[in-house]
Amino acid sequence: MNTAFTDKPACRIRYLTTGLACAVYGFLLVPTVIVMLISFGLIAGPSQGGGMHPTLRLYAEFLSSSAWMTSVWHSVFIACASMILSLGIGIPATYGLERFAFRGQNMIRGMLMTPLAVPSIIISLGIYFYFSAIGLINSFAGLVLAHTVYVTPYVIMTLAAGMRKIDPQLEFAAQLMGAGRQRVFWRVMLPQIRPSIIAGGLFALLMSFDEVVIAWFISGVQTETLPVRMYSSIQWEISPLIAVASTLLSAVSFFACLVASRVSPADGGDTV
Amino acid sequence: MTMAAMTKDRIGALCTIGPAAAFMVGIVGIPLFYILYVSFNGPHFSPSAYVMLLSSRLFFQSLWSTFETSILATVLSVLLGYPVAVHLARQPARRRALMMIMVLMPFWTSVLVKSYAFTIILGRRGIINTALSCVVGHKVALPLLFNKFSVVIGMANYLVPFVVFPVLASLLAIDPALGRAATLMGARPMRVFRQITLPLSLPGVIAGASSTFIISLGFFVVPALLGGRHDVMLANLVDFYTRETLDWPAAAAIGMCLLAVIGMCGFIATTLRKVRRV
Repeated sequence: MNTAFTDKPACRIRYLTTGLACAVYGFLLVPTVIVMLISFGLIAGPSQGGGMHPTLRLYAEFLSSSAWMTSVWHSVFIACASMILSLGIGIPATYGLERFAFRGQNMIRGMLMTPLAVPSIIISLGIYFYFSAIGLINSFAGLVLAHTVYVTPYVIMTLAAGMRKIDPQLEFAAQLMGAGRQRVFWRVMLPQIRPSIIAGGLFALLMSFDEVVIAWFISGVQTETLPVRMYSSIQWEISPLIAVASTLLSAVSFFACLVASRVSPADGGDTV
Repeated sequence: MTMAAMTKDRIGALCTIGPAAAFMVGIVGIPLFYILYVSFNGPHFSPSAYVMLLSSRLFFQSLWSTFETSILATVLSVLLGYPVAVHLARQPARRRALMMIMVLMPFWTSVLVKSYAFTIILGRRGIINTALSCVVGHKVALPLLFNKFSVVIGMANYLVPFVVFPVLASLLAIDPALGRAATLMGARPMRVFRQITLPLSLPGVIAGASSTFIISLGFFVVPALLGGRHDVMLANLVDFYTRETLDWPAAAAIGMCLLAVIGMCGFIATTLRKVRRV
């Protein structure tokens, strides 16, 4: 045993950092927990009588509110469509970036990552102007296209991390035995990167489901998404149903976080 | 590689990357140029929007507010994130992976959920004021919400994970033998921290702080929901001019300024990192 750890001042420092770290964990997690408690009626929310008994009343109200439920279905639809589309363009693009050698490769890679470098308010503004000009504003097609572009960099990053981990010798061996490039891709590569595809798809799903700034700019009354409805609701009316919507969003995040960390335990941190 | 293989690769790359590249150009590239176009007053070229901004008090006020808020939020995030990274770095690998969830969960939680939570915690009749009232015995209503304080707290809550990840990476890269050697030679733990841990984790801190600062500059949701009228940041001003006054050239010009500021800060940050490495 190292003597430093039985030393008194060393112990004091260890306790100090542990204490500080726990306080910060609390700061990070408590807000979400409080919202969940409100949604189950365990804490009185704002503009609400002081009753403190567990109840699912708010959930019943949420499920029977057509305005909230419509926005939930809009978000589900947009998130699923964006996920499929972003995987559809992201898988081949990552394959191209990782398995072909060509000039300007780094420039193209950088270009595909622009939505990461530009703040979403700028992307939203540009898309808002442009979609107004070509008539895609307040349409599902517009929202799906915008969200697809927004999530694609994350999909590519996750897939690239997965492709770099697998052994290229396997693909080479398949090629030697006469498999064409397509066949190598479908039969050798794809099965190996399946976990990354699942993780990337989940990130895409979650990021689109959560996204508020772009949707706030380009959605309208007929295409309002759940986050947009929450945003305007927090700003104008503070309905207690926001707590239910928040719990729903957190549950989706928690699920995605859990599955992602199970699928690729090592790179939960550096893929984001 | 032979010439034929090169050409074949280029065709393959075009087929695979083409669709994604077309999406990026069509839905991000063109709109970005469209902002520039609108900011110079569309087809009738004139820099009037920029001239208007130069004489606008609101613009300079929110430019200043953007910097002030971003600096405060960055400092607070580093102060909060560093101990967490130190704590995580000290755990055995398996336990660390498990405890990382406490940082990853908030990272994935929607900023809307957090903002809503803070309106409840910090409000005039919110949790903190109610608790204080109970302790003191009479009614307390500290103005904790809709000011700079709530904006900085809300932003830091979102940004701490962005500091933890790079700092943790640089802490884990430190050879543990260094600390042991220093201790054997009689250094007190505080000195080991000051002379070994802190300097060697500095690259992580700089990386975390610069990315946090740059993300802060473009913040929209938190100042809109937790800030008062004096805490408007550039992103909120963009929204205001687009939706409230319908002055598109002004909104576009502010957007270009914000982009320029962020680009400049990003450039300074990368140069700083390169200089340190040499």
